[in-house]
Amino acid sequence: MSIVPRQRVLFVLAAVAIMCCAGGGFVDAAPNRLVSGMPLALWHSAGALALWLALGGVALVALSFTRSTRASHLAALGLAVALLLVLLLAAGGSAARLMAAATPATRVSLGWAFWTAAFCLAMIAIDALQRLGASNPARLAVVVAIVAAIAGMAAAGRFDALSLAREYAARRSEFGAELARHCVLVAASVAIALAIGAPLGIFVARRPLTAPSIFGTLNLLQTIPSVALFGLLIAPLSALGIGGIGAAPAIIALVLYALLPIVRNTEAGIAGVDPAAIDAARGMGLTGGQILWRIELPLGMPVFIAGLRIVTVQAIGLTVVAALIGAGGLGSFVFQGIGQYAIDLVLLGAIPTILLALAADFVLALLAAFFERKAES
Amino acid sequence: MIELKGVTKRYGARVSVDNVSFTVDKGAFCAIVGSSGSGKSTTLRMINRLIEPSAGTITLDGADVASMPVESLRRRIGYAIQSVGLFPHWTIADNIATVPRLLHWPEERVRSRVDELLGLLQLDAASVRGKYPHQLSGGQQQRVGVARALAADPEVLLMDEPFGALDPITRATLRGELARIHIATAKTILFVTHDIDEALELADKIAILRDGKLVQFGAPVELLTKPANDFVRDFMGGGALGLKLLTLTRVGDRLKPEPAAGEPIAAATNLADALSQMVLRRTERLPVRDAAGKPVGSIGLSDLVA
Repeated sequence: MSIVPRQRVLFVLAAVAIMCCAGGGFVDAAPNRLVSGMPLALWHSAGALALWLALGGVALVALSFTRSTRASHLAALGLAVALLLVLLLAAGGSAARLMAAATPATRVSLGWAFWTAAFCLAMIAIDALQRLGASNPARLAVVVAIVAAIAGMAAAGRFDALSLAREYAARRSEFGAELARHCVLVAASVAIALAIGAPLGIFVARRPLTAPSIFGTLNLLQTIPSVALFGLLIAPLSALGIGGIGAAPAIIALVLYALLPIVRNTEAGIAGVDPAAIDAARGMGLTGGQILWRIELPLGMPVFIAGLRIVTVQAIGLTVVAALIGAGGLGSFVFQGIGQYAIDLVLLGAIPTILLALAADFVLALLAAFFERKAES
Repeated sequence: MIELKGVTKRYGARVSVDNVSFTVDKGAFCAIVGSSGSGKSTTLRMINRLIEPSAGTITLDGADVASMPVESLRRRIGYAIQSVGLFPHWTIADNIATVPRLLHWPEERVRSRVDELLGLLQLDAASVRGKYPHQLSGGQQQRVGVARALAADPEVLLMDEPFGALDPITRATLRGELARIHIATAKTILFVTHDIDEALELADKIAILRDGKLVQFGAPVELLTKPANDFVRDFMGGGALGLKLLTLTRVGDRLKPEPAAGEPIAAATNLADALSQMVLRRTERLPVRDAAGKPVGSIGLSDLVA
């Protein structure tokens, strides 16, 4: 131990989490779902679990005074993950305790202290994984373990009293349908963007003179705000008889946004291939198609996947806005929630969107790492 | 046999290769020599049609290359370049197997051919076969590049400064190997270089290009003894012309039966190296041994000029 913390990141994150939970509103209790609630601190609502959380927090701070070693990072990772789960249990427990003594219209939602502490704990875990130099399978295992634990707790009804869960319970069938619709919109737009963008990227790589005009156009599209683009598409599409609202304009707009990263990364992937390899391939009698499929695309794959990753995450987010023009998806909860001033309904749309984006990003990062290894090894 | 007739390449108003004609016999080793921008690489690349000539014809064994399907023409011609251009995502074995696989050889034949070539290029097949290009040294990569060019047993091998990026020692070793491979395989080789010593060591015909024009074409001795003009004379080595001439003849061809003292030199040593030894040892006569180490006579200072 020393007087100053040796692991400053850990110290700051743990201290922020503790200070928020000590003073801030851990949960908010409101008499109904439309008015804002009364903030309640952790030690007011969570009972014995608050003590465990406090102990864990102190342990994390203590850890930040030790030397940065593998053992200390492992301990930080384990503590942060455990505390995150206890934090969730404490939130669910607080809500159950408060609901037991209140009318059914009462809503208990998560307060800012909860969100801040959860964020800090997640950052501590991510930081520890980074410092441990964890491999991709190890990261995947940690994520799967956390998700499984949370799913288990949810299935056991630990969160049922929270207003978010109650919003979900009230819209269970709708939620499944909108989630599926969200995924379909994203998948369809990314697939169409790939079908158009990849050949266009190859074309630009073959004819560099066309690059300024094509990239210029796609760049321009990218600068149009998404709400405006959705709006702008209504009139022309109605005139064509496709319908200015619904899935069609949403997919068209999402495709337009997805084109720039896909075209640019396809072009960059191909342009990055060693010209000597191409010259040798031509000299040995590979046809243009063989060079593309066997040499250029495999070697450009990591860059290409990076573009796909940007586009998928971007499309998952933008699809929320597409709910404005009646395309459906998780955005419909967000906009209903905004309309009703029901923050928990907004979260019911926003949180799954964020999780979906994180999951897509993670899976595509693994894929990129796989191709990276193949291209380099 | 490769025959170039009036071959010209124009890029707009600029003439890169200007009316070049020469013939390379089957099994010959022809070096195309010139300074940068002389059109030597362009000339070479027109043979396998990586560049299409603006005028003139190139024939391979009497058939106009322009009339052949371009991919099958290239699969008949081995091609090795200075930057090697191995495919980084393929193993060494897969790289060498490129053309045989394009020609749909049975997999078993491909495998044995790969091992045979690794042996020919003095690479340890067992350890190198499964490696990726970046795991090899520059010299080893170039050996693989040459092996890949030879893979489908092409009649002709085109080499564009294949050893240009290597250090002098590796370069000398690979030069020796190429000479050995040329003798072993009897391929027709066209070899682009800017290094006249490399050309003198390897080639039996040298084409000298300047500003896209063929200045002189002939055997090394001809170029050294009867340079067509001052440019060729300077290019061949100017004042050191005589010394270069000595490199073309071996000690074994000038043997005398007289005895001599000292460490014997090999009969395969060239006369320039023998002269160098005489100067170093301060003697006018050196004993000579054959490849087996048996004394076969001696060589004297006056024998060098005879």
